Amino acid sequence: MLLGAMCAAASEMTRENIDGTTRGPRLLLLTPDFPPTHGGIQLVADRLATGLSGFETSVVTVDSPGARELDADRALVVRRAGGAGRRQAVRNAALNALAVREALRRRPDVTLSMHLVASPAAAAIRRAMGARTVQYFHAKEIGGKPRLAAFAVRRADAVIAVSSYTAGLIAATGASPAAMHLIPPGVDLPPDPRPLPAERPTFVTIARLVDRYKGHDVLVRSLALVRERVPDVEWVVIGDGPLRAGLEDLARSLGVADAVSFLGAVSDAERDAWLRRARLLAMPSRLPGGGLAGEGFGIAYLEAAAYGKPVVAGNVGGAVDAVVDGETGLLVDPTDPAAVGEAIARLLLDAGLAERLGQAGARRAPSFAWPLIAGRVEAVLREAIEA
Amino acid sequence: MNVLYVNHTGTVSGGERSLLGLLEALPDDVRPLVAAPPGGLLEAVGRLGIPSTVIAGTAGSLRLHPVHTPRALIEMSIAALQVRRAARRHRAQLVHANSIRAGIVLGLARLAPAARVVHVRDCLPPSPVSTATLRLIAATATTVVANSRYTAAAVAAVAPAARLEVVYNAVDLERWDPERIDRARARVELGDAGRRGLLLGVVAQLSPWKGQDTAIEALRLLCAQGIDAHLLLIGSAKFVARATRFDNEAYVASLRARIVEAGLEDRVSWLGERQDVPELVRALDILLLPSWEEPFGRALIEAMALGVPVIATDVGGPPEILTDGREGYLVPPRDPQAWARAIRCIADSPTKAREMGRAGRLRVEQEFTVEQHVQRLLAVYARATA
Repeated sequence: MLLGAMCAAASEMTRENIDGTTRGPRLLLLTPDFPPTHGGIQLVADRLATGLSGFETSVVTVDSPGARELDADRALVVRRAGGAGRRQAVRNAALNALAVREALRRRPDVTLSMHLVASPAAAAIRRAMGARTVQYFHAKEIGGKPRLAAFAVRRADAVIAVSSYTAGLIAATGASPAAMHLIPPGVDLPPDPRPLPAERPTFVTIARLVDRYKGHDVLVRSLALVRERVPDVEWVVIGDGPLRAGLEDLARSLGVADAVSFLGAVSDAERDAWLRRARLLAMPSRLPGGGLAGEGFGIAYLEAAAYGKPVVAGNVGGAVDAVVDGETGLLVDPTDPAAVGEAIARLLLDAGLAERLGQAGARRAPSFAWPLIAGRVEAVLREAIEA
Repeated sequence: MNVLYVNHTGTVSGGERSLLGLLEALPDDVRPLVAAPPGGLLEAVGRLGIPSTVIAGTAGSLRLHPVHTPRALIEMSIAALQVRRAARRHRAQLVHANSIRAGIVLGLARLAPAARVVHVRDCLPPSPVSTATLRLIAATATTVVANSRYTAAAVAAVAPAARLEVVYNAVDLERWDPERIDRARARVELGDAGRRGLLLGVVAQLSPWKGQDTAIEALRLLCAQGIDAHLLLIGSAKFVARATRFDNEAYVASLRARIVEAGLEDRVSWLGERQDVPELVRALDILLLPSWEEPFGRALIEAMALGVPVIATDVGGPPEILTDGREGYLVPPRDPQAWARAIRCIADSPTKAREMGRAGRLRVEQEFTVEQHVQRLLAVYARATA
């Protein structure tokens, strides 16, 4: 046992740098989505870039407004490909080219590709340099690119699916992964989750107004039903995007505009304050048409749970993993405004039920704490390196 | 109230069918007169027992052209004089133009003090002429009625001065009633096509922007997957004049060539212009609307009224008509793979198909009835004449 400890210490020492910092295996993290832009993939990529403490991580991503300032403030090696404002295909090509150049410089032990569009670079690096590849899958990106998805599955040493729904989408590509791991996204546990008083019975939705499948339109349609039972209800919509104008119009034409506040994109602090004020979070994500994929998981459900708030979600897609129906929230037919409205009204009117589901969510949230999730990803990366 | 309705063409297409539905349901205190070029529209108006007057046709393109443009302007000026005379004779308190072109005629006719309502049912491709047209309409119309929020936004984008109101199209729930038409019989009437495992249909004029080519490509993909599918193309190539935006006849020729090349001759039926559209749609398993952009999408509410699941382009009015996943699916245009996948989503699940059909009928009963349409338009009239 003493010998074992000595060996471990010795191996630790070999990784010791001159300046005393511990250096682990070299990890190249490739992602087209990274802060300062917002979104689920951005969040996961960010938490892993900063949270995989056993690795020497460098990030390759694309440029975006405000990126330089953000990167300068953080002790993180980030390289950004140009092409901001150009077509998606141009940006993806620039990302892949920079990824290969960066790999030549850094000689990574493993590449963690956070998105399908980075899989060509990951495959090239694996082939040319022998670096292992771990490929992340969320959901939306798979439906739009089934062939690339199959390619990415075949060329990876391991894949990570964020939900069982995502795992099903991967299986549907027809390619079988060398190793498949189901690792949900994590959540930041709030330092102060105590509720704040709200002027009106409030429910909140947090999502960019980019993808129709998030179900804002169904929520607008359900609002009249909710208001019949909860006359002073307020729906707070956090997030911005091209769907906003249409949703505002729809709310006006249905006569419910005075029950909605579209706040646009807000700071994390303001978002957290609304989660503390709200009685619940509603986001009835549905499966979009055309065989496209919908919600891979729904980090917003976890964030609400961490604040002790119940959620109303769709009974399809990744939400089924993120929410335990009847325990941490209510899962309903996300295309049915009546069902969605009924669930929201129920939680607004039945404080006992809301409290019970919210507390169950709060008890469950710590099992999704980022350090735990990052630890699971780290294990997958190490396994890939050692295999 | 005396109302003069102005239409720019005598041919019956989506906009004219909406107008006919409105005319039929007008209350007695609205006394209509219809001004339109000769053709099927005036015949139908006559059958409703509504008086009409003939004006010059103005169906030409709105694009700049050395010959067509001056000619169109002359036609419109003649029509404007005729409309002005008709409005005086009818003592019209309000003139309702049923299209953008009819709106130009109103703009040229100087009809004040009568209120001018211009119904915009199309999204014009961006060009200096379309911008000038919409600005003329915005400057001369009391109210611009758009058939969807999408169309309204398109008008507002180039003519912010327009006083816009949105009034959705409606469907006659008795004519488009699934109880009225026996589905099994409708299938039998179709012969071989009716015996196929999966019957799809597009109800639209044959024009590139209606996307029949996408439907044919999706059909090819489905057949390659071993699905016993068949496609009905209901509608003809209208507006074949050289001055129109697309060469519709060349498009039809290209569709035919593609069908032969793909070996789909016995899986596509060209039904042309039909009077029994409700019976044909009732026979369908899924109605497709694969347009590049659809200002509203009348074929959708008709199919939904019959309890037929729909798959529609996600560009334009359709997202306002149906919720993706509830009454059918919304799919990006020009992506046959995606269309084939969406079709399979419905075709593979009879339960889902039934639920979507039911949800469609319910949605139409709640939001797209003729009564609601007429009430909303009368409210527009009241505000315009106030």
